Amino acid sequence: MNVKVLVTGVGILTPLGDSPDRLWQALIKGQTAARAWPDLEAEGFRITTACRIDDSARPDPKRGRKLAVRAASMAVRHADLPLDGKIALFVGATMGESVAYEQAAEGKPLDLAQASIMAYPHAIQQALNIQGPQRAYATACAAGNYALGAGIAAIRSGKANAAIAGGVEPFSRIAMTGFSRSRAMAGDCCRPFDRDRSGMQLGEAAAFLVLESEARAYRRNVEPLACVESLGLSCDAYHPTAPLPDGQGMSRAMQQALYKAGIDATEVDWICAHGSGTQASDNAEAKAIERLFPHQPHVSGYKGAIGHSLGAATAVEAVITALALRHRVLPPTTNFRNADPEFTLNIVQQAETQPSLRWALNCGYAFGGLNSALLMGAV
Amino acid sequence: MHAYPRRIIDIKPEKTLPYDEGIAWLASQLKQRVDGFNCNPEARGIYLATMDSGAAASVAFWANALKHGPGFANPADFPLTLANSSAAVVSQMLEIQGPNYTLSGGSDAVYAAFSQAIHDLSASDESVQEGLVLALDVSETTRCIGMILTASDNQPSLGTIREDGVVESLAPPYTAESPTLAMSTFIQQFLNRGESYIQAGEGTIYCRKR
Repeated sequence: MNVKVLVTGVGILTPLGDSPDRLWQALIKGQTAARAWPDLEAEGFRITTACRIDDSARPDPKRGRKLAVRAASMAVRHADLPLDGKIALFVGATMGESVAYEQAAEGKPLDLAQASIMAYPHAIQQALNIQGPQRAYATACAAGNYALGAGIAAIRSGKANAAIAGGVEPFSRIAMTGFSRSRAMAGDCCRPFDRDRSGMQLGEAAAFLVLESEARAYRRNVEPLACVESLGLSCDAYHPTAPLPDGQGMSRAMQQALYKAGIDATEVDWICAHGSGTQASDNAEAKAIERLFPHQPHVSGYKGAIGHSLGAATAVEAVITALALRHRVLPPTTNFRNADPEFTLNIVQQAETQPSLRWALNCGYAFGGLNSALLMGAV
Repeated sequence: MHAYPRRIIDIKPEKTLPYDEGIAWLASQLKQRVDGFNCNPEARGIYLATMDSGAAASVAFWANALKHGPGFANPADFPLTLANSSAAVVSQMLEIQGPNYTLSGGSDAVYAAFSQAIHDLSASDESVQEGLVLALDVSETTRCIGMILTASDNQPSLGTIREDGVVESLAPPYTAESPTLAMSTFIQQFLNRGESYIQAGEGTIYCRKR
């Protein structure tokens, strides 16, 4: 019998809200953080709309670490977590401190210990003065789920008394340019699973969840938000950027998460989808969901509201999933207007109260063909 | 099930190659030297430790964007800026469709890569049967060194590997910053002395010849 792992605290910084409550209220109203940025226009970017936290225009090579420390500290406060004993720390990200690489291209020296993803857990560990296992997952847009999977394993194996797991991604001009030049970005707005979707919108965020065993959480008398049950992983091994068109790799990740937990696909009530808003990714994801879940569970995507925060995205969406499971409410898919005739997903279009909400899958996929699905449940 | 080392891999080109060429070359060399997997592609995992994968490509991509303007940067170079781009190239070349891990760091990342691989190979769901654990350097020198681990109830040829408490009997743990240096020391001690270990905050990976 597996130890039950609970989410006892969350911390989050997004362009749509700098606390779990503010983000939740904005999502319920279907708001979006996307807007045009004058600094990007002045610098010659073809697409200048993005979801950025307000202070992101000033280039700061320590920005990712600052966001990570603030969000992790918020999660610790929310959980009222005593920082003694072994506190594991798992952080996912895509690029590291993008500004440091950008400045290196202008001739400044590059210190990889400060710029690469491994700098994030070091910064948090130092700021919180915690001891325990720590790892940095460089698994691109699925990295938050990888970190949360490691958190589950650390609690179940007894390697840690508690785990702080999540992801961070500061705004990146490199990514803004790369996605734009790859023609993956929406000119107007990001519309996940919509018939008229035209691409993604770049975001930035930091999000962390505190994980503890059920026994410890109840001993501490903390009220959990949700449980994290299992992580499924797979790789398409197909193309550097494009997913397998039939979504088979995505299906395998979802299936594995369910198999590990002993949960039947028909028990899944809701899928917090990757929903990047690109034609290829949303098509593949829709096929994967349709194949595995013929009972048509609810499906949502939040990148129209908060943008795609790359390595932080699955951690941000895990926080949203935890809040939805706690409130038994599904926030709407921002910017969704018209169903795509190519698939028959049950897209959440208005905030919906779901008193019987029990199991949810938080899905995220990445360049390189990485697929992840995290099974979370109500408590 | 337990994890066992089945094969050692050590690849170093004679000259330093640009990042994209280096990764492609390493992946093709790996394909030749891995000697085939004994399981289906979905049961293969990759566990790659690196400090600099994607770094040089990020700098080069942005230098190109500064030179020509962000609207004219070469989009083909963008995927290589991601730290997981090396593992992506290798997994495509070797048809590795199971877990795909890139761990950022030095010797701690090597420890984490082994730890994750041993965890997956020993799991009761038996979803991973073989794991390619690699350390990679691509900036100043291009080097890739590591082991294939296999899940088995029987002990294959090379020896045993396990995650453990502190090993007191050996020399102090190696704390090299470069993941390939840490992996190289680990493997050399294993080959020369018959046993070796690598340590991080959470424990020890201990490897012993059969």
